[in-house]
Amino acid sequence: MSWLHTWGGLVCGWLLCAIFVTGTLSVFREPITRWMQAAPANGPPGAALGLQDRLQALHTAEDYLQQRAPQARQWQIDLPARAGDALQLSARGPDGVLQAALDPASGAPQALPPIRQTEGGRHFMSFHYSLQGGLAGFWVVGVVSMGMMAALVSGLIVHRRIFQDFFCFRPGKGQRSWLDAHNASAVLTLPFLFMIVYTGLAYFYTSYMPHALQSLYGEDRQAYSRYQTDLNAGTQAARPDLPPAGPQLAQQLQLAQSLLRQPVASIALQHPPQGPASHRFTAQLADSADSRRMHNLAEHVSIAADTGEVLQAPPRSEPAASARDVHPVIEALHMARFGGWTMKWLYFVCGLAGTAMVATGLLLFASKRRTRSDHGWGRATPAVYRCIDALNIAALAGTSLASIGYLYGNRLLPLAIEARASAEIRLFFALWALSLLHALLRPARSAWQEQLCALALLCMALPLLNAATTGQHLLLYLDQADGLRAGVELTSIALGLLAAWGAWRHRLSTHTTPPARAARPGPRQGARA
Amino acid sequence: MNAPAKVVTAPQPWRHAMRLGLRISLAAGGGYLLTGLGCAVLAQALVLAGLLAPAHAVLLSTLLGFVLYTGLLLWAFHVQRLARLALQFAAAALLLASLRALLECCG
Repeated sequence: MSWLHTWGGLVCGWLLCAIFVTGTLSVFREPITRWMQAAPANGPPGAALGLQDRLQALHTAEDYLQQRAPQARQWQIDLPARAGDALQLSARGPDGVLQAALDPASGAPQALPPIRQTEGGRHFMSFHYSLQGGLAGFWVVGVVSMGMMAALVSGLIVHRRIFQDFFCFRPGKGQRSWLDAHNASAVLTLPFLFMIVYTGLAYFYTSYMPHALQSLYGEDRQAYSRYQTDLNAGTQAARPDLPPAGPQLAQQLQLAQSLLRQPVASIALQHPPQGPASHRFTAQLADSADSRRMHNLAEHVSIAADTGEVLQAPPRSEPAASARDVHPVIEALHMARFGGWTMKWLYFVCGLAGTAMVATGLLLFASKRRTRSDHGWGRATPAVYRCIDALNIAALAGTSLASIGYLYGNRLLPLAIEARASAEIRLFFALWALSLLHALLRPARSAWQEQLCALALLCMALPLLNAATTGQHLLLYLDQADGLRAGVELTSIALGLLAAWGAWRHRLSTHTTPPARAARPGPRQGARA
Repeated sequence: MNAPAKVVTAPQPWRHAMRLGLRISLAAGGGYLLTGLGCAVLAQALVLAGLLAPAHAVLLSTLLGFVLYTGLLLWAFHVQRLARLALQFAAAALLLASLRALLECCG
């Protein structure tokens, strides 16, 4: 069991560290994307638009689409939410796709703010669940996640006194301190860690374990959709009791708005070649902080195009929880789609603590090996431990460096290069590889020191980089109440300070702890290997 | 609870490595196979017994599958003798496979 915890933890720990760092950053993927798109700052957001303005925008949209794309099979209208927003339209028809952004009142074309083409925060999410490596990466993450499940449970068994030891911290004592830090961070975040790794696996439940599905629904490609139909039967009922709104789009919008009890954000008008035409009105996704539900999806109303009859609407009363809510709740739990920004911050902090748990486990391993006299690998022992050290450095410092370097790439790569978004991602992987190379070439202690210092500098200088390349700066964001972009820079500074503290502690420990002191075996060692 | 590394003495490191590799593949591969069989049998049994609708049975047994797999991984490193472990896994697989065949006949 302790072999499983030590070696399984080590081998899975390298990738887990990277998965944890990027997963923690994914909590804030929207702010990161917004920061990376670098749209020019244009004042604080306008006031919310009233119904009259929205109906006017709808009228403009209808006129435009009737003139430009009468043959289209599908129109999509995104209504402006605030004063100053553009009305965005797209039409998909036999002649291809038409897209336009208009002034909602006059119908004059309005230029969208120039933004950088980037994957933004989505890159961290894709890396988190597939290492940006498609199906193979997806399975590797699955294997590593199961490894983490096993390491968590076996950790509880191996570190027998983990709960008593929680209140015991002996800083500055080398290996013992790493053990204490490993235990403390594990206990502190244990419920979160179990939750996050279980929901991470269960998020893709029938992909990772299709056996039950296959045994009851067959092995063909349609099995999953048959299962979904079964599971969701009766979610959204037709509401024949409601009076039809008639063929006018404006009346339909008002009916939909009264059914949704909130403003309509977008309208999809579907006119398929066969079958009846329908209009789908989708509400704005409300801030999850205001909701007491776990899963908050944008609600929608479907209305028959010709008669204005309501085809589908959210049920009038809060529906009782049922089995079909299980997977959406698992998704919401994993992605912090509830509880608003407070919950996202809690997830971010817990994610950092989880990273610390994995990282201290890796460091505990390295510090133990350094002080042991046996040579478990024969003549190859020094080389093997050397590689383990280097991989530890690349897993923690390297992933963090690559992540901040990804943001630097976004600002520093020439604007004109081809496929800029994927160049940024290539830069991420290049930096990761460079970090590993550096760790292999330098002695482990210097490599830690140098990479942590570089990380601290890069993180703390992010606002300066932004000011130098786009002319936008923290004070401007704060002045315009642009909390998302200001948050990215402030968090980066805070993480930079954290890295600086790490580098400083590391420097202290190299100067004050004589190796002999760390070598003394403790009376009670947790993970024996 | 002892590490498998202690069970085998050091003179033949390649043999030790081979046994370790075998144990790891038994745990990961065999465990996954057993979990899959277990999920399928559980789902079918729940439906046949009239306890759950098919969709709900799939949901429940798949979500339990991850717990089962974790348990099997730990078990594979808990049992000291490799031969005993292989025997246990083979017996469980045989049992589950025949149960599955039986349930398929019934359903």
